[in-house]
Amino acid sequence: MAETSIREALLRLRYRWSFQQFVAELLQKRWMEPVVPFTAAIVVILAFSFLIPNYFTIDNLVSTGRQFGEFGFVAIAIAIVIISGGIDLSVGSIFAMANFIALMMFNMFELSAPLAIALTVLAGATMGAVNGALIGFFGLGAFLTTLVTMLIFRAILNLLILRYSLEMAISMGDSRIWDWLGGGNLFGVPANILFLIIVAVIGHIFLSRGRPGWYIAAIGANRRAARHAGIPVERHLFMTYVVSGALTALGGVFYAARLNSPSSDTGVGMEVLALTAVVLGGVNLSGGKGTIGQALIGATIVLVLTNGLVRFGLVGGATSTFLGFMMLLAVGIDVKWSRNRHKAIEKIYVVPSYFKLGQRHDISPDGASAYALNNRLRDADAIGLGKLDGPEDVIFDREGNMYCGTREGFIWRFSGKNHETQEIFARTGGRPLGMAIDRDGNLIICVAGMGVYGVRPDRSVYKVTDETNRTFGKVIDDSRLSLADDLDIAPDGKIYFSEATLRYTAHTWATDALEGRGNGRIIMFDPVTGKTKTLLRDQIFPNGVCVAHDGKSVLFALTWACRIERYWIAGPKAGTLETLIADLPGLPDNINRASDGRYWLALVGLRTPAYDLAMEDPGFRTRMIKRIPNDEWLYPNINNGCVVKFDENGKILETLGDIGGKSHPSVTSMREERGYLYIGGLSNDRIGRVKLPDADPDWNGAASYWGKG
Amino acid sequence: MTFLKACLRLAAPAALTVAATLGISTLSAGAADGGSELKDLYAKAVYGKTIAFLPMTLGAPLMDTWEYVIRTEAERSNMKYSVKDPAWNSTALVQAFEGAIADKPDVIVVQNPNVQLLVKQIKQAQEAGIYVIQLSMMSNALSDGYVGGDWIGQAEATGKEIVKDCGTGSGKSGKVVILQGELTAAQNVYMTNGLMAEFAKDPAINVVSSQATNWDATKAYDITTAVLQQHPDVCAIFGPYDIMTIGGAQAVKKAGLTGKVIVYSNGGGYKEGCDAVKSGLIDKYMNWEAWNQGREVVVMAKNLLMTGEKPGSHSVASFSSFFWVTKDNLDQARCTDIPKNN
Amino acid sequence: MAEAVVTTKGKESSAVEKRPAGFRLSNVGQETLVLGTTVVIFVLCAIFVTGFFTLPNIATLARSVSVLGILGVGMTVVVIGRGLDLAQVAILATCAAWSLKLIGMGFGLGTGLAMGLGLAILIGTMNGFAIAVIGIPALFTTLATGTFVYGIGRWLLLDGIITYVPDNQDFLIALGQGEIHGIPVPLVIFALVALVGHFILSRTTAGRFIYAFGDNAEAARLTGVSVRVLTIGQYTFSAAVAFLAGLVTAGSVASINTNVFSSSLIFDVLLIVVLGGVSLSGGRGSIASVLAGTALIGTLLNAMILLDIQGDVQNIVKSVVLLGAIALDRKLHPRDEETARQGDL
Repeated sequence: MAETSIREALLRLRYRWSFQQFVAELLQKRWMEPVVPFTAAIVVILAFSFLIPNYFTIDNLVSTGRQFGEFGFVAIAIAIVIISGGIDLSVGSIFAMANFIALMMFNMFELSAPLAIALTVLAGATMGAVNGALIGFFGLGAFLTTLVTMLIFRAILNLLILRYSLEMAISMGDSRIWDWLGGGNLFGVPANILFLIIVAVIGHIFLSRGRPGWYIAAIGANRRAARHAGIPVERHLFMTYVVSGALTALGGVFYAARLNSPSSDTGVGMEVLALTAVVLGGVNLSGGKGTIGQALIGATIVLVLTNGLVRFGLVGGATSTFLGFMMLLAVGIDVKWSRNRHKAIEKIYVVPSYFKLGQRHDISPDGASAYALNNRLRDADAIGLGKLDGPEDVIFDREGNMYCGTREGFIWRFSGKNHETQEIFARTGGRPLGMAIDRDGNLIICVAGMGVYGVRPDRSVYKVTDETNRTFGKVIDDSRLSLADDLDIAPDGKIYFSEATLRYTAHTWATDALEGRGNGRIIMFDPVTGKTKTLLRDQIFPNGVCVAHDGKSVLFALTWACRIERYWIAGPKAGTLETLIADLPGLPDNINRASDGRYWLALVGLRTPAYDLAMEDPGFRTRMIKRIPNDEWLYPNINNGCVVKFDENGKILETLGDIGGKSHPSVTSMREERGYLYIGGLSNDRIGRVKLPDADPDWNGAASYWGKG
Repeated sequence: MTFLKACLRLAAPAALTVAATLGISTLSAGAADGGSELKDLYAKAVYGKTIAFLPMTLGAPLMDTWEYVIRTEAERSNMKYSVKDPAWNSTALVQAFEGAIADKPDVIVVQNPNVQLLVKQIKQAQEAGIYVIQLSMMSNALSDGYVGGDWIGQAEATGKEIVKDCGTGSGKSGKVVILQGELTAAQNVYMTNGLMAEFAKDPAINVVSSQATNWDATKAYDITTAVLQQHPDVCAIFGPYDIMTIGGAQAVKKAGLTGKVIVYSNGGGYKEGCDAVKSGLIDKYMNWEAWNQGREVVVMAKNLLMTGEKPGSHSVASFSSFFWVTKDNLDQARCTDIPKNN
Repeated sequence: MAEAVVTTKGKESSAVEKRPAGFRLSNVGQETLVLGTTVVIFVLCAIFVTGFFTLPNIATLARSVSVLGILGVGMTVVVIGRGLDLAQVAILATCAAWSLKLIGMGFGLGTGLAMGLGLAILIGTMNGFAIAVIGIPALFTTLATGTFVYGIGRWLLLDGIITYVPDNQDFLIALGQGEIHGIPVPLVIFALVALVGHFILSRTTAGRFIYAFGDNAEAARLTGVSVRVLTIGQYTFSAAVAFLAGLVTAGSVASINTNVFSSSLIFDVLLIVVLGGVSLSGGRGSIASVLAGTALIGTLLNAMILLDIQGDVQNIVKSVVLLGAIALDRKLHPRDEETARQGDL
């Protein structure tokens, strides 16, 4: 026995923290998308720092960095155009033209540095505007149009060089600003890198958080949908080319300040390098996806590679060989990776753990235990038969109107003596689960996938809360509510609710069972302060929540763990957690008050030996998940359940069941009201009503919480 | 004469003789010593020093010739050598130059694609204590040394030759085709201007075409073909770079005008250029001997190192001599060839 | 439950727009327009430009344009399948130069040519594989392959920027400079390649499938067209054609200059292909388009050289002509925002 418990303890320890889960969560992060290019960048930099002596010295980094600055601008420029779904082959020519114009303005016409720079950027924007007008407004294809403008701008530049280069060679402007831009540092950082970083940050904010940036990405992702959504497509396309031209020209300005040379081969082939950089960084060529950061990572790779190879002394052809090879390899891997990332995540997402359940009580109908099953639910009255689709919970207001939430997101109200008036009371837009009535008669509902919402008596729907505090140290952002399940309200108005699981959604919650981990939490919302706070973490699928009759503790059910817990909220034990009932013979769902100071508990399913055994062998479950398809997996039994009554000490008093499941196979909730017990089920087509002969015929749930009137 | 003066008169030559004897013995000890003293100075200044070579590209006969000569000479002189290949890309050349500065060689030899590109970097290198020798194509910056062609002189000589062959009194049409290299290269500008200045002296000379080929033989071929259609009586075709001019020469051959159209070219005297003369493609070849230039570079580097002066304090230059090579004097043309597997 | 009421605006629409018969700009194909323009320019040049309308000059015109035309045929086959082959020039330079080097080393004409052709086919297959199987976009793949091939050639395979035709290779020289009954050999080769291309595109199943794939790739795949084999075949054909063009180039100037890779040759090829009416979005055009485009550009270029127009001005003229062609294409085939495919560049 001792060995078994040591083994159990070790197993439990081993499965507490899962490396696989950590990796799965990491992969989901958005910044993991450029993991391939980023790795490539690191590899390239490390390789060259080994091959070339003094590579990582400050001097060398500064000087190499200075050469990178201008190219960085061009990479950003072309990235913006590509994200919008286009392409800009004319960046090389615009760069060279800007270089020339800047030198002409500064050296020949002897304008001041700021004026020369402004005019150059304006010229770049104008050239970009030509592209933008042809592509955005006239609708010509981006590839051919920018090809044409590339050739035209280059030809015009050559003619200008022919005419003016001799004059420019002999005249020289003089400006401290110009010299600083070309060769100066600020705290050791080269001037052009400084401006590049500023522009990159602004660009990133613009693309990822600004409306024009969203529109650009939308147009790139699906032009037709963007147009249908009302985005002015042409105008934004025009703008991307103007921005591209202006940024490229800015790069050209720095090049002019640094080298002071209007050579006719400036910028030749730069569009290919920029395109390579951007695609290497992971920006999708067909548009819609990409960030400034990715463009810069790619630019780093390209620059380090070409610069390193030239400095290493290899013949010029070697640079092209490595560059071409790198392009194919990196993009090939990246294409495969981005296609299969989701598959990879899927494969490693489910992380089974060790979980040992206790004894299984005897539930046979002729057995002696209080759990003995019977058919007391079979002949329940059917309310709303055929109209309701999956009423998970049912509740009554002070006036005795019955409410239930169904799969379509509706809240049905049944009023009248025999619940004959049936209407849709409100629409939640999500999947309503557990409900409660607050002091003011509002219906507070846990809506799976959305959060906690309320419905006022005038039928207006409002949000109570949909986020909580983010857990420090957790990889994924868990401040959103994934699957709010049930709630209850304490006498001081605080709302206590359960979030069943963080890792799965309203559609995939059943897989959470296979993990056997505590992925859920208990959260509290305080209407006075409006703040939401997580009280308990790592709970194993917390489901039903019920404030005890004395208001001093909160009872909640842990479905897969088959136990009921009690969390003290007042009194000497406030803040502590203890187990009230362990080793239930089934999976507990909702808990609600009974009229005699006790509690009703719904068991949505009953335990099976096969499942219990499977939970003790995580290896078996892991193999099962990997090898057989989703719909063949072993799941906990949620086909046959029952209703159980227990008292303040956790003693089981009676059971109501439906053997064979004719009317109420799987029960998720039950509510006592005026002498009857109303039964709800997640996949049932009715609300059942069973007469409770010994119950108080005037007992009303809402009054039990808030008093009469 | 007083005794003192007599003693002095005697003493002086005696002293001189003693001094001389001592001096001679010192000298001869030094002459056995003077030569080796010089060798020591040479060894200390030159051995183990690094020459870094930055041509505009590798893989072209001209640059490969320089590369081979500089490398072998440097290595045979117990010096170290490095080369980088920017493959005709000026941005890569700037990167290579800055990388070269970081490697801290003792001498950098660079070929400038245009006059402005490397001005700052050359100054930077000199401030870092590196001698800079510019090869063949100058920049606006005066550096420690220049080895290269005398373009102005060559232009004048070529122009005069063409005027002699095609101008007044030659009985030819006087039509000339100039195949330019790259319009903004310094050498190209000097040559074109020099030629035009000579042509201006003879009104019979008429330049019918003067287009840029960007040093490409195919472009030269296309341009020449078209021009010959229009002017089948062209007298002379000139190109400043032999590899490029060969393209134009082939157009002449195709048109069946070899011998009737005189093809002039400048070149470095390597195998491909000389072969073109041998096969009759180029009629008059001005050889400025690239091989020699390579050697002169290394000599200049050694001299600069021996002076020990701070880089940037002086400027020296060696403008290459040149001579005409035709089919008749090929045996004296001093054509060079790089051995295979070098 | 509230009922949604959907109303359609009263507008007559039919699935297929009927075009009225008769002469309209949109009925005339782009090829015809381009050919017409060529004829006009040709006549103008014949009248006004001295030396244009002579047999030697026409021969020169034909010769200089043949290489472009040969490459254009290969490019057309790829572009109709909604692809792009930017590696053609690199293949042209490297594979042909390698053949020359091998022949010069003593391998014999047949072996040398076979090796070069083999290398070209290998590269073409690589391209097709990367595009069809791995899924990298064609623009980027061929750009990368071109860079890679140029690099390998310059670094490992060849001995310098220029590779010369070895002595006594009359066959190779004839490929570039020879004549058959007065017609320049390059032109003959161009005609042959164009015929083969035309045959493939219009008379074989593969050709039909290429059009189908270019028009709607997903539909073609679903109907059972083996799209991967088709794509690999297209790029292999383009590469082989590029090798042939390389041999013709080598013959005409007795050398291959690998620096032609960084020139604008590839854009000239795109120019003649698009000019004639082949659409970059695939599914449209024919070899006739290439012929029309080649004729126009050849005439234009020749006239400009004769007029001693600067190279850069020539580029401006070519670019404006291309711009006109794509504007014309847009007019003849307006982009319908509703049915246009995502990713049209």
